[in-house]
Amino acid sequence: MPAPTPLAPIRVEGARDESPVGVTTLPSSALDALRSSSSDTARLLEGIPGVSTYGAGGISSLPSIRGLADERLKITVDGMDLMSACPNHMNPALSLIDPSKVETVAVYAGITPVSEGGDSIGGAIQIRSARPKFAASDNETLTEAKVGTFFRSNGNARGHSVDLSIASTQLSVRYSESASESDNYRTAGDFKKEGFWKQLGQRPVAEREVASSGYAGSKNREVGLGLAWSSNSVLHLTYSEQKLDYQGFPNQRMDMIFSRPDPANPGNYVIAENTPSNVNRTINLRYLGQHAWGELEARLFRQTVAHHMDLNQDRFFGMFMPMKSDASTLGGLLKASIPLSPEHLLRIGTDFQQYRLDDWWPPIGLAPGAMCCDDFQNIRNGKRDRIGVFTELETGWNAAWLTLFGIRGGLVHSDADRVQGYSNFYAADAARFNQRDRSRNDTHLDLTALVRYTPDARQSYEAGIARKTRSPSLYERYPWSTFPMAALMNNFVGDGNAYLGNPHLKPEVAYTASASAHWHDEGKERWDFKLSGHATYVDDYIDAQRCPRALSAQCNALNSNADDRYVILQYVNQRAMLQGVDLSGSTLIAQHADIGKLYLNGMASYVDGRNLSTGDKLYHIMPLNAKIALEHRSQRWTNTLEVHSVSAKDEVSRVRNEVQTPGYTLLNLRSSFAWKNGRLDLALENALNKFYLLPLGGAYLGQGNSMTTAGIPWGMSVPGRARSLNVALNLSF
Amino acid sequence: MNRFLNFGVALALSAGMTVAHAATSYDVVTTWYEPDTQPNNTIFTGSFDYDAATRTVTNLQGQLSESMTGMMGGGMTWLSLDHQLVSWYDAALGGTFAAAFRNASTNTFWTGAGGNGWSPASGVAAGGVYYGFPSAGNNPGNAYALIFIPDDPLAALTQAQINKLAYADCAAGGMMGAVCMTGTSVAGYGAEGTMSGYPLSQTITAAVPEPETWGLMLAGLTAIGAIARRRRAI
Ligand SMILES: [Cu+2]
Repeated sequence: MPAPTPLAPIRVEGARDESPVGVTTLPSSALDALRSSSSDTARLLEGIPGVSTYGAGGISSLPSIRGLADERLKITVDGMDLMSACPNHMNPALSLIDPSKVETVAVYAGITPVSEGGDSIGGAIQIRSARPKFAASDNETLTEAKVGTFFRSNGNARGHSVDLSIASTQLSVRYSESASESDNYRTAGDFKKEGFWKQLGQRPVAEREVASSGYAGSKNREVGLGLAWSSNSVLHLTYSEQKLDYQGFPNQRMDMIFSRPDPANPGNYVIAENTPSNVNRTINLRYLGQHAWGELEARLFRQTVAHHMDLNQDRFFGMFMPMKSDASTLGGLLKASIPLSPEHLLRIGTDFQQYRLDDWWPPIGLAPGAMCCDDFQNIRNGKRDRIGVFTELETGWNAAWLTLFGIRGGLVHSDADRVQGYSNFYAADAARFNQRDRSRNDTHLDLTALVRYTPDARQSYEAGIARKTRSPSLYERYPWSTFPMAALMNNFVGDGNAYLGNPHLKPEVAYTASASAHWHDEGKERWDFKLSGHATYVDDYIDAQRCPRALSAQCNALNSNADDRYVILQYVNQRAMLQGVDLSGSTLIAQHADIGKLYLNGMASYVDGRNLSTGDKLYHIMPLNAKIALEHRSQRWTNTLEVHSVSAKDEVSRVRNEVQTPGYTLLNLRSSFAWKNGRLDLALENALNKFYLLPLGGAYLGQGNSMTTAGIPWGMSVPGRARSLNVALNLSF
Repeated sequence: MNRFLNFGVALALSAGMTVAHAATSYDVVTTWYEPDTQPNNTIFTGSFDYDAATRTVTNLQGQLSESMTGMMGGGMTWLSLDHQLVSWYDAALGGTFAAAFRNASTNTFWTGAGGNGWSPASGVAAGGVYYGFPSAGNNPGNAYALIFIPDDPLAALTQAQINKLAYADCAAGGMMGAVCMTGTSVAGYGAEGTMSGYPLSQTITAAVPEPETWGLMLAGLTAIGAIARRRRAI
């Protein structure tokens, strides 16, 4: 048997750009400054051109790549394809890992190779925590300890993290924990419409306080065990748990909060303080082995989520509506990378995911009415099972040319059982849903072709085309009640509208073409410029329509025609086109032996999204935005002055009554000081205390009666943060 | 069924009293459109006596449907509004307002925002929150229907008159947590109801003529007898 050969150099021999085609990576060092300013892992991605985030709770933003967000992206945490288990997507994959745990970030903002996942059309985000480390020699024990803490003045956010590891050459044990919490944040100007609606919480909410934006009791813990029984094989087992007592959502009608029956008052619910509202547990088993024939990666993971929602005290005091969901996911991957020849690398594999979901709302009150007397079953015994097989050939023809061709086939089966509402008031809707066949089988065929041309050490060009498929989620297919209160609770885009599922939805099929050019000096030290253009046509794009009049009497003329209120929508397959450009660059503008180096960095993104079936604009598309930063780096100091400009959002989705937002420019100041055993980060965000509305922040629903379409005035957007002074200290030993 | 019998009895009794007061009896059906609970609307069906000489309304009572509690004609709850506690003459609108309440008190809405605790305007100001807020135990579960009787009771209502019709239902089956179901118009009170409901129509018809009153009374008595007999059987 021949000795194992290292593979990596083969496929990139001679090439300057060693990253996989289409990917942007951020190493841990690039994340430090961002970590100090947010406990929301999704926001670590905002520095990547083309990536923006939909506002949600304090740690639960949803990432969007070039206008495609949330479940249109393949988002993995340590290789686990984690699913949101909530009609409002309050617990998305990236909310389940604390930023302090994130070691690397990889984003496929263009075309995702088929080996990196299917059942997605918009790109991929791969978050990894540190891989297990082993001691270099037998008589050595590797020990590492890291501790960190932070404070941010706006919202009084605070937290800490601890990470301990000990390892021999064959065994590695690691424990980490982190905790964070925040009060509601403040904004720099008035944004609430007049009215009594905002005085009905348990306590007065200040005019410039963004109600329901705080969270408390977020605790993450993880134990990892690494086993290296030869120099070429590593087994890694991790168990992680996240518990969160409470998280408010200013653009949702509910919060993550645990409520339970009131023993003193039958039929009533009360908030259970300090009880986790969301408990997520994962077990992740990974194997990575270098063999004579190539590399083998295997993974098996299981995730369970117990999720509770109700209304926090910023909203309507004395009004409860418990909502619960239980979900579990079993997933796995088997992937082999086989060098067929020095030029050709074959990747072949299979992956699967088995998702189960129950979503029900216990009754409240004792009299038959809106929310009594049975469990409301929003999704009952939901199933979404997926299996995929793929093969991909990567060829380094010579130092200049590299190609990647892939094909992936997939099957997605989804189903849900019969449902019922709180009372017979819901019987007509339930009967309509129950009578229809709800089982769906989708077949996927994905194709990718990518080419990279690197003529010399100062330039490279990439281009690709792809066909990608995504099946509808359970929440797009199965929510069934047209009663506004029930439909309002199904909304993962945060626009305040009520959403109905559509069992007839077909999978989205996206055709993408993208190209990018990268110019830089030989060492990528003095200057660097990258330009990308992209266009995606999506057949059967899942957009929304006003709920059809024939469906129910609640889908009436008022609902069809209103342009200044929250409305009832239903998911529908239409056609869409997204196109845009991203650019980024940096240049060394000054250098001095004593003072250090001064760089000018910049990036800008623009994407246009339109619905070709209706002529409408797609919702939640980030307007033209740019960041320009002056960065000073010396050995220990990094100082940044950043200007962030976002233009007005005047192209909005009419069908969703999306609200326009004005343009704005923010100034952020950051400074960090690093030494051998530590790092201190200081930041003054929004230094000029500018008031602005978040273009993707959604509708402000954080206080008032969120249960009816008329309970909170329409037309308020969630604003951004007022000035905040952030401090973070991290030490390692 | 019992409810309808009781309703019949109430009608019969009120018709009987009409004779004593020398006022005329009328039936009324008032409808509030409820977009959120379609096809169910909130309906008040009742009766009253009207003295044209003094423009006085008496004995307003009836039943109010709870549109969230089930389907029309199948399991929907009807509340009895037996207490006519307020009425006044509005010269500008040319008619008389009267409201029948479920409880023997007007306490309906939270008074934390001011207001008299029952009027549609004070209900709008309080966001439709029930009296006794925030404690559910203090909510008296009141409900009312506010109707309008034009100077000529049988005349069709003008839109301006319809705009002022209102109802509130703070009984358990007509609430969303601390919020009562209400129906008001933007034109009349500056806001529509808590579930977007607003007044749609009202029809007043002359109550059954004299000779039949006695027949109804007899029917009512028979019904009472029937109920009594059934009770005994149980
Ligand atoms: Cu509700």
